[in-house]
Amino acid sequence: MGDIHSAPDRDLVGAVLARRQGAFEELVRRYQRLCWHIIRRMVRDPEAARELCQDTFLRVYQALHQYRHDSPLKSWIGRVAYNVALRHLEQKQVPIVNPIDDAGHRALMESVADSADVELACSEAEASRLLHAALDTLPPLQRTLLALYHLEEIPIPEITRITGLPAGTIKSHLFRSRLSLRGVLDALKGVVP
Amino acid sequence: MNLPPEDPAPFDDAAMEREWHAQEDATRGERDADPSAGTNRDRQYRRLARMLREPPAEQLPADFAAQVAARATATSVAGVESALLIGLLLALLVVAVAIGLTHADRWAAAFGALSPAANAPAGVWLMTLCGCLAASWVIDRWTPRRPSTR
Repeated sequence: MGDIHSAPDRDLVGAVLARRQGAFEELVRRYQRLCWHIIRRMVRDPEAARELCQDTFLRVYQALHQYRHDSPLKSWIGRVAYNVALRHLEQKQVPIVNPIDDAGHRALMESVADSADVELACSEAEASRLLHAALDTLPPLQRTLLALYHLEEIPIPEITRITGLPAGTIKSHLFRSRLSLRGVLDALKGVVP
Repeated sequence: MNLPPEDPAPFDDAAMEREWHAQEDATRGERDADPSAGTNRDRQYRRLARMLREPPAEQLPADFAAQVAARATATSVAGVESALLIGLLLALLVVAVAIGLTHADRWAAAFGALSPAANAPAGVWLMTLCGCLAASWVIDRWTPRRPSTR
């Protein structure tokens, strides 16, 4: 096998299982961003999120021999990270989601008007600050789905593998989150930078 | 207990369907689209898509991968050591039981021959010694102690 840093995932997994020097460190480096984004969006406390990230990779190290290459390594590691964060929230009795219904969607849509031009009314920095504050108020599952879809640019079928949720549920959460965040932008009408 | 939510019905409302497509188009076209193009809704969703692509402010430490790899290796070595230790202890226990069973009758006879009869002089002194040790232990237990000054 050649350079471990450019090796495809399949070879990298083989190298980790063969206990090759530096292989596991490379695997961690390759997927720590994904893991961090999932766990950081699920768990608000950064220190706890860091520890859970570490636990995730230790779990990956112990269970890698069970990985059968039937899904991308990225999805497999993402699923481990998601489950680690989910178990943490269950232990803390933090609800991960608010119930969804069509009536709620419609009410949210009606509350978001399509009128004034907010681009002229509010600075980019101010809008970003308010949007990130609004993002923090969303339930953990919705924050995580937004991170997977927008930040990691993972398609919905892959997100179903990571979270175990049906595609319709994921779409519904994305729809609802984006609609409510658009409501935040709409509320900025008239805010002078 | 956090249960995954039920799969909701797909969008059966034309307005919701349009809104979904506006969100998706803005997500896909955010990088290439003219910032001023489209409706206010399109611009809002493009702005939103741009901001959702921004990573969180705080990141993992730069040496995170090295730290985790070192910990994983240490855990793995500790696991092997524990397994070896348990294996050795089990083997020792099995050997001890096997030897004990093989020689139990001879050892019992030998110990029986060694132990003095209760009415022999050595037996009386042995009983006295045991009584003294027991009395000393009881007195020590019931004597109140001064609190430590340290």
